Amino acid sequence: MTGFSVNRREVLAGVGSLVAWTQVPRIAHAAPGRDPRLLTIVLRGGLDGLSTVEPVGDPDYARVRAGLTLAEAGIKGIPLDSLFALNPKMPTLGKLYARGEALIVHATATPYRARSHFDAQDILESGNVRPKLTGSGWMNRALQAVTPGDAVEPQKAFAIGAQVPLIMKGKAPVLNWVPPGFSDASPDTKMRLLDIYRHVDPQLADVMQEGLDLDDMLGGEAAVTKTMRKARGMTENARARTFRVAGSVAGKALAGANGPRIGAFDLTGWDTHVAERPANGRLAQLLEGLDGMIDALHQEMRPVWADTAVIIVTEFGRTVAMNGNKGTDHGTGTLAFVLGGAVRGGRVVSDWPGLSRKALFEERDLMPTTDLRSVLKGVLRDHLDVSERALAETIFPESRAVRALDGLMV
Amino acid sequence: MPSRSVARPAPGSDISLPGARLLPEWVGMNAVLFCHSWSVQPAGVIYRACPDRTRQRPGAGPGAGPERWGRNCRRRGEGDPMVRHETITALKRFGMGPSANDALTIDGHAREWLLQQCDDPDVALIEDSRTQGSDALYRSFIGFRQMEREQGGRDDATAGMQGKQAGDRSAEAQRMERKLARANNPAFSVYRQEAELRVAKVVRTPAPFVERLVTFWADHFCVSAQHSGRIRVLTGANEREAIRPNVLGSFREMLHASARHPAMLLYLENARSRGPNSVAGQRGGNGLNENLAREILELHTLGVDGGYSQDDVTNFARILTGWSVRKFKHPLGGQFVFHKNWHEPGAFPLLGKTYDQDGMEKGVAALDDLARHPSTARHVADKLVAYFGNGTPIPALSKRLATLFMDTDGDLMSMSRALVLADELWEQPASKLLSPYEMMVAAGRALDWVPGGNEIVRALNLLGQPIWGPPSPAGWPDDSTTWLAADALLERLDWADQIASERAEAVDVRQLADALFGPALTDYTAQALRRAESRQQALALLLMSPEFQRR
Repeated sequence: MTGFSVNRREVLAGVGSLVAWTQVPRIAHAAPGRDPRLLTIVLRGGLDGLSTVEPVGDPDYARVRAGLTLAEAGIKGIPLDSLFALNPKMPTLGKLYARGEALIVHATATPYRARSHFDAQDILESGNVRPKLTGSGWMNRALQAVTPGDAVEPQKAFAIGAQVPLIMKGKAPVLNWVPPGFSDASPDTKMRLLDIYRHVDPQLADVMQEGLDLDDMLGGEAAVTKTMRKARGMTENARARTFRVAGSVAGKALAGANGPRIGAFDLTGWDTHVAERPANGRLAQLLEGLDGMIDALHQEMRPVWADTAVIIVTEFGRTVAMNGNKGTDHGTGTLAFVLGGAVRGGRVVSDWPGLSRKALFEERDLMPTTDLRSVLKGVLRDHLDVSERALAETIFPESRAVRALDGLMV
Repeated sequence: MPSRSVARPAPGSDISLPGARLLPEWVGMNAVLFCHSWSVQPAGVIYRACPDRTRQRPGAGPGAGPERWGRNCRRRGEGDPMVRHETITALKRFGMGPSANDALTIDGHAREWLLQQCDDPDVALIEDSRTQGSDALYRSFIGFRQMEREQGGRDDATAGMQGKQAGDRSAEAQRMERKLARANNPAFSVYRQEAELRVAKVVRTPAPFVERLVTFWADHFCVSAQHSGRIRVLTGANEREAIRPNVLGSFREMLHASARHPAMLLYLENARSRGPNSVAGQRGGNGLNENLAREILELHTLGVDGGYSQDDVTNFARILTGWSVRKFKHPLGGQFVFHKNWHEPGAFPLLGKTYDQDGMEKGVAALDDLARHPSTARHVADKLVAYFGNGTPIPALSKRLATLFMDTDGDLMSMSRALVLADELWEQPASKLLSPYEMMVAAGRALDWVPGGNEIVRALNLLGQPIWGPPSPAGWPDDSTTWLAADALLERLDWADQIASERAEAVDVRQLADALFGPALTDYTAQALRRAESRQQALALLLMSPEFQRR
């Protein structure tokens, strides 16, 4: 086994998929002069928002979170405002926040109120109010609602991972990209297979054609190998390396003049039932990895950063109290990040519910006070110029009452 | 296979089996017919046999003799297309892909062939002297980790320290060291070996339908190799010990076996869950962990819409406290243990019924009730229909299966037979794309080839479906759109091309295609195979053809 394929496996193990859509219209009615980019990252497993952005100013925090706070580990967070401090494992995010390019929404949740990962992810990704209503994702439906501008030629797109996540499934064509592993079949064999598919199985033909286009766009295996080698030099931790590669590849593609404008991928591993240790354990490593991914993304996207918004979401939060194994169980309220040069950041947006027993959801979870959909709607409306009507009807069905948040974007 | 009669017509003789139609090619041939119950299923026997090719039938026993077959025997319209359709459906939808043998021998008998596979409840067992019990495997893995730690070597947990300790050793030396450590690490060596045994079993089994059931149930009660080394070392054993012995037995037994298997208890954290009011809990330390309780309710039994609440989850977690795995240093290390001192005292309601039995009996009784709950019947029925069908719900069939589940107290042999007898599943068009694992075993069966453990692990990692390694306790997604992804499809082609480069020399691809698919092979694919520029290309195209890839 070559070192290279080990790397690749790490990428697949950690990153469910990265999908970028473009059949590529520029988006017509975005802010003047802007060619907007939107990337959504799903943290799969339920991020502990409380340990990521600690409400250190909440009088109940130290008590309800006994055993889990950074202060107990002798560690000081990065102060954000009078109430909140960021986990110091995320210095890049801290910098972006200080520059007004990162926004944190705290005590947020989708409309889902039970505690199944799988249903919660279904709702988060489908944009529905109940699970299993559709097989398509809100990002895909948002794309169908965008007013297309000039096409970017040639039509290109990409993804990481062998599977397409629900958030990007749907009618708008989506491509995925898998880091190279086996040696390439010959171009002649590819063409002959494509020919069989065209005659026998048009669906496979379409999918394969997209894959071939994608290969062209990313410049072949050599470029990817280089990215992976570079990431390997930057961190010892396999998972962090994975996250960094995901950020690099996504950033590179989204920054390209003819590259995709819209993408999504997911980072797995956030289900911290045991030994969570936000200061120096599993969650700390994950946050460090996420920060490295943000750093890689930011570096690759510098030239288009002003046109960029990155949304980072998770299916739900975790219980306020620690469980018996120094971890936390599935809980409701959590946080979301919105970052990028197009974001009016430097703020924690939160109608903070407090952490007294009575203030908790079912006396157990952080009470969600901001509907995550209002954040997503705000970004889609102001960044991509998606209409309120499409947002309320097709993208987030049954959500008329959920107003888009104003002023999220520059 | 039991109960197959063998008829051997003499050269030139007029075979007169009841109902068998003779194709002209038969005359003058020395052929072997494997068949049974001719009188019951007289239709469509003899598609095959061409005078222009001679070849030893692969896998045939002594005395099978040379046999002629090949593409010219495919007389479109002459064989019964319905029969052929049934054969292909049996081999692909209910089986693990056609092998050259089966495709020819079950024509006209597809359903009996499948039903017979359910006759032997032990047909799924893997009996191999190389396997070890999960307790021994657990001990060997933890022992290895301890030894490694004592030597200051590198492992998953200490990866971060490596850089500091390495000092001035060259990167190359470090890499070699890591490679060596990996070679000795049971988490990898055992995983490879178990993978090889499993794939060998699927490729060689006379009961591929049962193997498909094993795949289903192993995924239903999955423990993921991606979780950690100690789970990876146990994933194969979990399937051998909890799933295979019960796959044609009772759902209740399988549920019990799974819930107390060390792999599951470690994977979903129950092994360390202690009641806050138990003897141990009063002393402090670990406490309640509701992970296993939740996933048993949501994934293994009732289903997420099965009508349970958060209180039920917490109470079930209390009920299951003490279900754990013995420490590795204990003589019985790695075995299931009930720690009385960890068990939460008291009586707890679950789904409206209160469990007040002594200690472990609470959990046993709760699992018994969950196993026969109507929501469980519905959940299992729905999943089976989606798995064997093309993913779209078939409410009438689900309902029948759920009723059968209730009537037979979850008898999986009855359930399996009912699937075979469900006309709905024979009528749905083949539209599911094979998963990477299914593609690999189908290639193995088609080529009569068992890939080595390294090849299996590496290829499935690269194709995005690590063996026994789904991304979550929910198992692998059961729809082809999951795998219908642009670049992933090209990755499949690259793999198929590599297999073809290694194996094409020994294969006549056109004969193989004919043996596997007969008239079900489209003209267009047949033509492309004929025109391929090399054997390798032809084989790669066959493995990637829609006929091969769709189920």
